[in-house]
Amino acid sequence: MEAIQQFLIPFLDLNLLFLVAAGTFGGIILGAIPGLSVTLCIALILSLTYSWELLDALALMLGVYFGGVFGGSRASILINMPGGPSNVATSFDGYPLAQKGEARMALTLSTIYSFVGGIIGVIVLATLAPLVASVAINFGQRDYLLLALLGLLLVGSLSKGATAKGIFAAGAGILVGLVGMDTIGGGARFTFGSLELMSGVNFIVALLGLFGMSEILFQLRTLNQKGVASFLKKTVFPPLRFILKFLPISLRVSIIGVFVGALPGAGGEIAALLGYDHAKQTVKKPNRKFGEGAYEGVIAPEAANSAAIGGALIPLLTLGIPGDAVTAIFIGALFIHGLQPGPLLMEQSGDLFWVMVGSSVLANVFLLIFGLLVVSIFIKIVTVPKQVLLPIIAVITVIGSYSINNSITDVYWMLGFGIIGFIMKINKFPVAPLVLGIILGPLIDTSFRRAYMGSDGFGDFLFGFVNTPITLILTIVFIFTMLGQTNIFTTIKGKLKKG
Amino acid sequence: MKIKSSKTTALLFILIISLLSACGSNSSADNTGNNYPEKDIDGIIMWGEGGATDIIGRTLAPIVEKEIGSSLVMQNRAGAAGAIATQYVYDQAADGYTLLFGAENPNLYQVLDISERSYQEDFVPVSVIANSFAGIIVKEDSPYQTLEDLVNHAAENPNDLIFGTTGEGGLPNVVLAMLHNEFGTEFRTVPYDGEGPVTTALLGGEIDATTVTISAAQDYVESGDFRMLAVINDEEIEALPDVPAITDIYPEIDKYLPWGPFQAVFAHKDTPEDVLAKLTESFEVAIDTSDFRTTLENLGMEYLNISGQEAIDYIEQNRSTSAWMLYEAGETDISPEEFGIPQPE
Amino acid sequence: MQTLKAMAPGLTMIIVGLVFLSQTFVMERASLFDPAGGSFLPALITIVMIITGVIVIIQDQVKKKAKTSMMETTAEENLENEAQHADGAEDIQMTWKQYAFIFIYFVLTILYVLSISILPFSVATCLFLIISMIYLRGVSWKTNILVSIGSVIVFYLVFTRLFHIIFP
Repeated sequence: MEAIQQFLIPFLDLNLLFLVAAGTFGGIILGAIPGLSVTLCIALILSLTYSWELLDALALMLGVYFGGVFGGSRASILINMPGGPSNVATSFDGYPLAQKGEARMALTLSTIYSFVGGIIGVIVLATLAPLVASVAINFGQRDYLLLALLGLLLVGSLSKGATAKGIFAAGAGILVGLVGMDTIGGGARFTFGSLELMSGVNFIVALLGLFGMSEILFQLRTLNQKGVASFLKKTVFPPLRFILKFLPISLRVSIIGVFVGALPGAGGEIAALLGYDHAKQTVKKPNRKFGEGAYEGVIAPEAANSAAIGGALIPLLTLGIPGDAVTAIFIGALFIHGLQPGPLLMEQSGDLFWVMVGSSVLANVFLLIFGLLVVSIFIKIVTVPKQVLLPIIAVITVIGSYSINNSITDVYWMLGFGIIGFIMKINKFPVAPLVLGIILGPLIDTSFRRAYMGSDGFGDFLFGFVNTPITLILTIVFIFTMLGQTNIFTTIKGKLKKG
Repeated sequence: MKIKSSKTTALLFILIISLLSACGSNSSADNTGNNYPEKDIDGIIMWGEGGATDIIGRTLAPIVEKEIGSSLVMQNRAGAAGAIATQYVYDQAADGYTLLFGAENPNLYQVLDISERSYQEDFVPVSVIANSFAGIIVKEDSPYQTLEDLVNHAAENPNDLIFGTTGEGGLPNVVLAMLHNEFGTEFRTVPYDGEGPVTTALLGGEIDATTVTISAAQDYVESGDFRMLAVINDEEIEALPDVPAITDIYPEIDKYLPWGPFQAVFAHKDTPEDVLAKLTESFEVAIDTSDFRTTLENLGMEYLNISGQEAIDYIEQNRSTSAWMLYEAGETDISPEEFGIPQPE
Repeated sequence: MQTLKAMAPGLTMIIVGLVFLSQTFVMERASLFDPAGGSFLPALITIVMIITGVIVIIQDQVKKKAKTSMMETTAEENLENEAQHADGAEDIQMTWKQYAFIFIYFVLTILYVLSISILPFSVATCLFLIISMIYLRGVSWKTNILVSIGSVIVFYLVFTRLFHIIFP
């Protein structure tokens, strides 16, 4: 009973209600600007709300968190420039959809299913938090390695036929991801003696260059062709039956999203990639091929990354361990307001848990309302002539890459990635595997090496892959997915038929 | 030919814009002496959002702003264990408008060959805000009940136990060197990205023992998940009265103390004296406010608030202990002597 | 000459792989043959990259042969269309004029980034936007000026006022 009362606090307290709404709205808008990360927004709020009541500050932060992760998909769909790392996978099918005149459909569907994913995340948080946390905490280095490799298998489908080039790009991406000071050994890797490179290549900078800048240059090629606006489909709101069709797949990827989000070493970006991968593996008859504008290709990553937020709050609230960079700031907020985030948090301030659950539900409701309301405003972006839009995007990529670390060097990196991405595009090298490599590279590197360091020689290292139940399951999933991706099955089938 | 006719209009607009921006920014003010501060001060945090340095910097900033009468704009420039931020602040003008918010890490840049910068040669402390203590922890189901159990096992069975570290120059790294030098312990080490991940690894049973700041472990110790075998100090800590001080178990460690993580604010070495005095004074008052002292308490940090020679000596003691311990344990081949770091007695 | 051109993508891949591989040899505090070390995995990846380069060269050669033999046997258009389809994306044909156009715009962007350090941020951005739209043509000067100034104000409010991001 008490829990329900606490859960309802944000719904009944006008002040909290307003803060969640304002946070969600602000998050959607700011999250849509590539380069303005959700982490930065929330760090800023932390210092602004220093003297506020704790619940007020948390309400605002939660709103921005849900809104910001969702807002990033607007840019993925409309201008092929992910607003944040969690929205990379959304651009794989979202942008092709917009190019085919279905921007409105892509925006609407992703809004609805961000809401669905977000709500599922919160439900799991409210009901199964201790259980999920205990599994997540026992996730070992090998499990992270397998998870990252599972994500890397997407290379096959992102290469669009040019598999060898795709693998090359992914490899290069991993190496770019490893640039900088080796967090394990302490040595410098691929820095060519420069101190600036010691901190590594920020992958949002790489995103802005490879997706943003290179896309601008690529678009200049066809400047005088008619824009998408001329054949923009004037779809009204899709019928309910059509929307409900995607419910099963969204439920599955949301579960994946919650769990990946709950892992202390993996966040929304990996959740979205694995969600996309899962959709690609299991959806037999998409409306179009994946990568060319499948609806499921937009729904899956958005449901997964929203669900991952609820997941990230699980280790935070049950164990005091951050599930990602944003929840690390939440921990700071709790500290500042005199709470000890840790295993005793639920016992000592249980009301906090339910108020946060309530605020999260509320944030998702506002996300749905505002998300659908602003579709018509966002859609205007595609009707802007390229001559006006491209220079503005160019400025955003420059400011965005600068503002991540207040570093002008990052801007030059962004430009470098821009020209590399452009050269790759005109030579038919797939760009997406490169980004995949940059995102997954550090995780593959550290988890592989830690797993090896923790085992006694090579034999023990291999044995570890079948040693514990979680790892064994992941190993089997990985092997089957890999076999499914390569042509072995189809070749054998084909040969049998012929023979 | 539309373009040509638009040129004059364009120029006019640019003129207006530049006038507006000139009014908006304070960059026109000249930076001479006593009137400091005449524009925004940049506070550069050497760690990312959410860390102890970040939280301390961001909560202290609004209080200092009131004292000093100018905005303190906090920015994170994480990377390379703080070396990026350290280099950046060093490269800025020595006018007191760029401050470095940092922890103990730069004390080891030279011996670990991470960067040429050091607090001693390149910076002057505005204030050492607070310090904390490190504690050695194991999981509650660990067979090692006391520090002696752990040390003896690790000395008799080299490389049997896994000790989680936070990379080169981190707290566990130095503590391991301390134990190795004094008692000949040998651990297998697995490095993690910071205190959070290493705590998680201990919870998940991936490692056998580790060292973290008291504040990071306190709650788990209270909940019974972890057992703290010793705190690296010469007396018990108020927050954890049941945990023995390491000198109670091994009095020979005393020569390394005081040693532990600290949080401090620095300015460029060549900052004018009156500017430095103004900064020191403002920070001193701000850190002393009851609000901020509560924040420190919540973070499990010990209020220090020292400046001037006292602060310089404190930082030097920390550097000398850490650097020599790592060198003697063979963690680095570069002798601290090369940089004139005195050996602790 | 033709052969070299056909081999260009594969050769580039091999060269890039070799450059990275050479860097794995010079890494400090890392042993190439220790899987837990810092350079083992990167070295492994560079080797995979070099192999993919070789594969691409072979594929391109096979394709070229197939094309020439097809032309000799005066294959029907259908077949060629099919071959092209198997390549994946459509061939991207660009004229030198287009390359120059894009290159100049890229240089313009670099100049803009350089100018941020000299001019006040708002002036540099405004200038860049105005010049961009003039260069890309087709925008009336009224829209040009309005959009440029409007965007600069929005950027200023969001980035500088709200997020305290200070440009050099």
